[in-house]
Amino acid sequence: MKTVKLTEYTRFSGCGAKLGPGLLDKALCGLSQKDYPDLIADYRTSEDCGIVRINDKQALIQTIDFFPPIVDDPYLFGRIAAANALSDIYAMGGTPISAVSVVCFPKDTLDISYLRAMTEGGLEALGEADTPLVGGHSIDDPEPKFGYSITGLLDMDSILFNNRIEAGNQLYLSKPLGTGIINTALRGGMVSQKALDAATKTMSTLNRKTSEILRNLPITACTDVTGFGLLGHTCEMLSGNGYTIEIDHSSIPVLPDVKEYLRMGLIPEGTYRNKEFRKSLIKDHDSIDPDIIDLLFDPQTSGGLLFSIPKESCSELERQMKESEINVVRIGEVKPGKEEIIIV
Amino acid sequence: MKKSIDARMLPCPKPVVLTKQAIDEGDFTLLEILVDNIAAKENVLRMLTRYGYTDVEVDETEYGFLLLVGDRELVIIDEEKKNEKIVLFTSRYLGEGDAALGTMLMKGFIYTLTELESPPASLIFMNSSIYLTLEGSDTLEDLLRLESNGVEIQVCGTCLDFYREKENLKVGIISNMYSITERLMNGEVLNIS
Repeated sequence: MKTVKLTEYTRFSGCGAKLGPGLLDKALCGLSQKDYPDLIADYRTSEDCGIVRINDKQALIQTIDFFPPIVDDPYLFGRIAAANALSDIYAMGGTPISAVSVVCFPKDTLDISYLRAMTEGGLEALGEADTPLVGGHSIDDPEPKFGYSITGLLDMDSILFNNRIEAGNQLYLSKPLGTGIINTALRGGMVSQKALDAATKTMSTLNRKTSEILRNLPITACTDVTGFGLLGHTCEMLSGNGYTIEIDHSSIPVLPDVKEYLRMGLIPEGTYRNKEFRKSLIKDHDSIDPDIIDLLFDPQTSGGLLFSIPKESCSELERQMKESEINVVRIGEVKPGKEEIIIV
Repeated sequence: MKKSIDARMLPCPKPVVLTKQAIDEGDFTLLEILVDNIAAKENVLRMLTRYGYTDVEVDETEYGFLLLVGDRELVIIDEEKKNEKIVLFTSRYLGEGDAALGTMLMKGFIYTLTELESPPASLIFMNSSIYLTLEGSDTLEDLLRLESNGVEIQVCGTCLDFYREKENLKVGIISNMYSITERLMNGEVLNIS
């Protein structure tokens, strides 16, 4: 079998294939459905998953995520796609219970062994999440895409909403930024092995353990950083609260060589869409170094959890994360004030 | 020779890759790059800046943007440039007080720079200090001498536009906030205002 580069089968850079947030808003804004008494979150909110109550104690949560190849190795691509889809469940504080795969595959131009390898990689990650694969759906498509719909369960009293921040909360991030930029450098043929290895490792890592630790701490808001970039998802945290979030950009962990790629203009198109949609919420966005703002709007694939916690619980959080060898970093703070993000 | 890249309809990061190839091959007096979206324009501009092409003309056209780059010696902004001395001018006068005195002091200061054994690597002119670089300025001769001795002179393009003096510029290159900031962040800066 001829070895091919999976990423050459697509025009897009991973999550950069998303329809832009502005465009989605146009499609969905104002569309309503019946009032369902047990519906807690649907497409009209910007939650990580849809939520439906199934009894007094529990809710069912559902999510789906699939995208074109972001790495050339099909096994790793499958693994990353599963870690990424599971992440939405973990961002809500839920437990995944089943997975269904979504497959678009070019049967005439790509050997079927690639699909087998993608599925195998996905099964490995699902196994780590103790989540059975129950089925899937495939169509013939010239551009390969792969991912999962995941169903999970959630205790009603431990839902991690994404916008219930409180003044004084500290903001944390559990994975470094830059996967979108590294993917662009890969597609430009300018990526270093070091950068690629680091990005692959972080994208393949499940947010399971991080989420399990958060469930037992007084977390006020939590989401996972994906296609809208760190600042896009931070904006969702802001909504409807009347608080300011201050982000210290120098504290944010960054994957290797990303800063050099930024200076070379290896920036996914999604970054520009994200920035355009949300820049009005960023204080003095025009005077911030473009390298900084573009990194903070970089669309992430299988990114880390972004969460807020009262100050007095920070040392306990940091102790538990350290014990589990998870590298969470404090990147900002919630303050009383105008609804905006200040980058310092 | 003129080189043209038509990067319209090409997915990201192809426009950047083609621009880099053209720069690596060199051998052009004018490089023309056509792009059809803002992301490609911004990304190509960054790539050009990274390779020292700071004076890029960007024209908006019916299909997107046309970027024009003149040939010049490649200045790769890298570690070597760190810790070089940079003088940032932000006013046409040196210090607050009487304007005539301020003018005289500024002329004296710039003249003294020409007499230094090791002059600064770069002079950056922003806000009203751009008047020092225009036709008729009494510091022009000294600035031209500094430039011919290898001192880089960057003049803020926004400021030239604001004061409507772009066509009167007689020394240095027209620069932008991005490359000025990069220069300032990577050197030892002396602010004269």
